Amino acid sequence: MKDLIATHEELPPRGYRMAGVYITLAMILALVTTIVWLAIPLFVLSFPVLAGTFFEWVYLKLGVYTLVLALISAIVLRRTFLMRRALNRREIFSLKELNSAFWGAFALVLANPITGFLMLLARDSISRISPPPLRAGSEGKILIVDHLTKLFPVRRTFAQSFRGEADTNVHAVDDVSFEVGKAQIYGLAGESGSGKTTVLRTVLRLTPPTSGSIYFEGKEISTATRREMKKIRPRIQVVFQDPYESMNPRMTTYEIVSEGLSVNNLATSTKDSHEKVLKALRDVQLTPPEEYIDRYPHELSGGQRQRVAIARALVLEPDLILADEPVSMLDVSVRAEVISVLLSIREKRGIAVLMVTHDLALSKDVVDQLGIMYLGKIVEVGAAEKVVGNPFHPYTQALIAAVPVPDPTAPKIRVLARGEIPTNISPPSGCRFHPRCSFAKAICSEVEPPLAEVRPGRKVACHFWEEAENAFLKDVKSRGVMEPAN
Amino acid sequence: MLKVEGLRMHYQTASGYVKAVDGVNFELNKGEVLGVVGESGCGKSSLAGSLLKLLPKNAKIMEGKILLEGEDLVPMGDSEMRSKVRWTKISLVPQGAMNALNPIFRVGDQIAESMTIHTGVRKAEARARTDKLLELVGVDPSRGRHYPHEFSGGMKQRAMIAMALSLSPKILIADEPTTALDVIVQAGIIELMLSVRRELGTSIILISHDLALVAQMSDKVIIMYAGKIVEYGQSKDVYINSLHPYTLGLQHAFADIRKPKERLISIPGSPPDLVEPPTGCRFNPRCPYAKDLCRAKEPELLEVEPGHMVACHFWEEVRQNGK
Repeated sequence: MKDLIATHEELPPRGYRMAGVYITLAMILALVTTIVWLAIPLFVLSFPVLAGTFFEWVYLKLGVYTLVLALISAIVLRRTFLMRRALNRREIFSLKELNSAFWGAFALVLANPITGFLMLLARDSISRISPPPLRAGSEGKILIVDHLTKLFPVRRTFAQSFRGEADTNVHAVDDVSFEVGKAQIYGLAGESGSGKTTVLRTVLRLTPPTSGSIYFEGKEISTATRREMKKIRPRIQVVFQDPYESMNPRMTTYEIVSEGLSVNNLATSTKDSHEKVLKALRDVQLTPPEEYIDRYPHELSGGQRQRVAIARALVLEPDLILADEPVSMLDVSVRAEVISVLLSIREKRGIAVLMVTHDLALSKDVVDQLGIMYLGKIVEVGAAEKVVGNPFHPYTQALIAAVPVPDPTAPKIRVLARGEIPTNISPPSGCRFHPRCSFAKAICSEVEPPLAEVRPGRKVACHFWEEAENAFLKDVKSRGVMEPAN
Repeated sequence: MLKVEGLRMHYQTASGYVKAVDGVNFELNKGEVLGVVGESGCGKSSLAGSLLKLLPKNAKIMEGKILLEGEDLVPMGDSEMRSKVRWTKISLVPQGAMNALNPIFRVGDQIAESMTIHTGVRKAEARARTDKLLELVGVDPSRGRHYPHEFSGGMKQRAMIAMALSLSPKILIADEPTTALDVIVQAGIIELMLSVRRELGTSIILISHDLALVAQMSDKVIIMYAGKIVEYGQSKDVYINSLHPYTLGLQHAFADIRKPKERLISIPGSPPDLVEPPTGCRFNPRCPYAKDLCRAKEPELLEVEPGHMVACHFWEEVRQNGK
């Protein structure tokens, strides 16, 4: 964020300066007009000579008119003030954002033509300002999440306030950073309550981050205006967990898939929309699409529904699809088909996918980069196959040891982590995993381990990852299962 | 101990009979874990319901026998089932057990209630036994005074198992006992159920769509498809020496954490309509081995190897190509 502002300061500030001057003038004029229009009826009424004459009636009528003008002036005054503040904060970059401020200016022509003219001049200077530069290092990246933190406040109860306790927070996501490359499938895995879904919600801006930034193609979206978000939203699409719950049962497949096109004005004609829908359905392997467009959700199987959900996302030609456990509600026999659809749209259309999952066995087959989350933090990152085949963090190891395998002769699964996931209202000090970790030592409860790159392409947040890795490899060898990658 | 013979259970609907369980035979011995695997809608849960005769009104057991220690449950009435069988001999850990607890009663009271109602023991006695049960399933007995919302998902599931064990049943039916639980919690529940089997000698019927979960726990496995058993045998035989194309298809579609990155293969098509199932073998529209014979004649469940039964005309071909 800091370097972003610094680069703006280096921009030719002329456009801003001129716009600032115009708006200041407009503001002063609007203020004067407001006062003048307010003063006129008072002035008229204070003329005793006119009392009881026809002229008094005329002036009273005029008084109502001037009051309306005064009100308009006051509204414009407020707008000029807001614009000036936004300018000072360097928040206005595009012409579109300004337009709303000028509707007032046009209305003002009656009340004060000069103010309206000044506002138009200000818009003109701002329109010449170039947009902010993209974030450094965002080439080839579709999504960058930078030190994202999301706290949900928990109000203390009346009794607690008596005991002198302060309000607390749920640390849903705590200082999480990761990057999703173009056409990459990035997986976030972890137990429930680890903050995976909150990350997705924040990327969609369904909930604002407490701190940190999210960049979509290098542009920051955590502070984007509503108008900018409207442009960005069709390019980030979502596929929800449960295809039985995420569709309107009274809409046909065609209506479900085409709705996004009409909402976002992305189809030029009905025919165009029809073709786009058919193409999207073909891309998710619902062929022939004509057979499916008139069906209602209850006439589709679970796998078909989830493919319709993917088609609904695809039809808007997004660059990023957020998938929240896309196959966990489906039968094992059809999971593979939904996964193969996701893989094929990535290959054909170069769409990146950010996937939240708790199925590590599946993520190894699907995901390129895998981040393991625990209590709002990423504890391990790397190529999915390597993280699953040769985990460094004791938590990742515990997750993997608990995954059953479809082989009755294989050694039984084991519980490596003690107890249950603690609350994230007051997460444990130091390393958050230490109360459940079998490698924990004194330092773990005091110093939080940073997420550091320990091998090329492998990051882990653990003080004793080498010890953990050795123990895991030894264990794997002794049990004679699982060929460790790397 | 439990022997099911030719069990047929149909649901009566406006469009005809839904043949949810269609000619099922199996045996369960003392202390055994029997896994039932299949897609949703294949009749797994209907089978569990039939065993306890806890079925919706439109369901009817058409024929077959359910012999529990030599006594047939099919002709029994509801009150007889309640006094003789349910809870005391067969008990159920229902699907979505996490939501099966009543939110306005304390967990311990709910467990004790099943004992006082069924056996008429005193409240204090039931309480003492509840504490013991909670300890057995790995929940601190003092938590019995808490309400369900104060429990985590895994603990609620443990409490449900404790309740199912309260009258020391001989058979425990667990219907999808770990769906919606995290892997580490699931691992704990599996360990718990296996230790119950070891210590109390309870037989378990485990119903799940998760191949791996069943592999980890079961001695014997039933693979169900469209209301029928397609493969049945010792789990080692069924998993390693699979003879039915459907079993193989499930295995190819299932991600195995031990293997390097692989492309999963789904089974084409979707499960059939059980009102009018396909003629011949019910799996034939989705089967890569299907020939004319499969469309014409329904294969019988035959014991092709000792203790290993399969219902497929071309099981020998499957065995050769399966690997």
